[in-house]
Amino acid sequence: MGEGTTGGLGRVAATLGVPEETLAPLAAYDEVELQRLDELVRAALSAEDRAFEAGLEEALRFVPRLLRGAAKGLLFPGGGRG
Amino acid sequence: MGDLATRLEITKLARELGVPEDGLAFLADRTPADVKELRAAAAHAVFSRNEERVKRLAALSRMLPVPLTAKIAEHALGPMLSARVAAALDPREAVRLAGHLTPAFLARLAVSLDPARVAPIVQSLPDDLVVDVGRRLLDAGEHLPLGRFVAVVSPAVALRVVDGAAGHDLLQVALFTDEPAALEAIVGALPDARLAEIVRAAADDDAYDAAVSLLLPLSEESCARLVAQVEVLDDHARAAVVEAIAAHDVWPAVLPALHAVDGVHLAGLVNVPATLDVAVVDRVVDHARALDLAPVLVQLVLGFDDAHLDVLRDSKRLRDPDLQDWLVASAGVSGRLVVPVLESLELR
Repeated sequence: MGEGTTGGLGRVAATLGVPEETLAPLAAYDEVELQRLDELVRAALSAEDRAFEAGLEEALRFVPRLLRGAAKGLLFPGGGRG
Repeated sequence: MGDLATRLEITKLARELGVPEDGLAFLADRTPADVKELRAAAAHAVFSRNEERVKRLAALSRMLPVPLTAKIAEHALGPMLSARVAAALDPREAVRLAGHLTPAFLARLAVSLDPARVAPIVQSLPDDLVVDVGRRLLDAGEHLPLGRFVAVVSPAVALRVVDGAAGHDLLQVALFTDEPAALEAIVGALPDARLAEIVRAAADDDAYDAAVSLLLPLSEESCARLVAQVEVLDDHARAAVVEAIAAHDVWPAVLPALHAVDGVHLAGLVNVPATLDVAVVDRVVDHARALDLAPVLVQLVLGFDDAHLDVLRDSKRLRDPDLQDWLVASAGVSGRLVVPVLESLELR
């Protein structure tokens, strides 16, 4: 384990949406480890996004036809997909 | 207890991120607090990431009949998304919805719930339903979510959940219980026989660090009851327990409890390889002095066999006149034994 860089730590902090100081205890980790942590967090967030995209679409299929328009407007405002 | 506590925090973080624990092994040299802070940041990031979508799904659930919302939860959203939405619902809405979900689905959903976010909902659910879901989590080996939920349910409900659980399961749930008050309430309500099962499970699993870590958040009384259960262990296991106590220097939690251990079992505890190290003896003496536990220290010395008494002769702490004065003055009814014992050990 070598000296960490602000770059790697800053990237993890930005991905998590927290001030870099919050992650100060991780500053001792090297770039490779911080990169790995950043990838794991990004993968978790991406998986969450994909689950929501699929879940919203799937939920709409269960809504009765008469309510589907209103439900679609609620789940996908502006016509976007989530 | 840094190593074990850090490992438990890594397990929780891995669960939060949905990754194998091996992928986070490089965090093993951090303090538990460091990993906990990272976990809190990760949990916040995950929960806030799709907050708008969660609110829209919660709004949709209010627009539809409850049975249909339940159907969408089980068949379209799945347990993880449903857990996110549940946290955004009013407790009354959530309780109504829970009444239309199967206990099996609720158990899968509970794995993704953050207990702190849904405490009012869990506390509003019928006890029988919470017990049913808790037992399903237990059957599935989901000790982590169970341990976290212990903090938000009543001790009576928690005890019903673990009623009949194996010692190994009790140990694991206890380890993942974040809230010391909740752990204290449960240990306080468990009979000695169940505590003995926990101690025996720790020995069977070679999880002595885990057993010792449980002592730290407990009250003196509960700690004493747990320590007294070492009588169910064989010599090898007792030696391993003391080794773990010494390695993690948790004597301050253990020493006050030793007054409850009878002489025979106390001798079995103190006459182990770990206490043949004079540095360990001196640490015990230091802690006893700091906690003003002279009677316990005398009790320990009287329990030592010849080989261990020989080690005491090399103790710098016991040779200290100030300490000897304190021992004589504070040992109570056993005070009269102190001087002859010190003299026979050539420490005075």
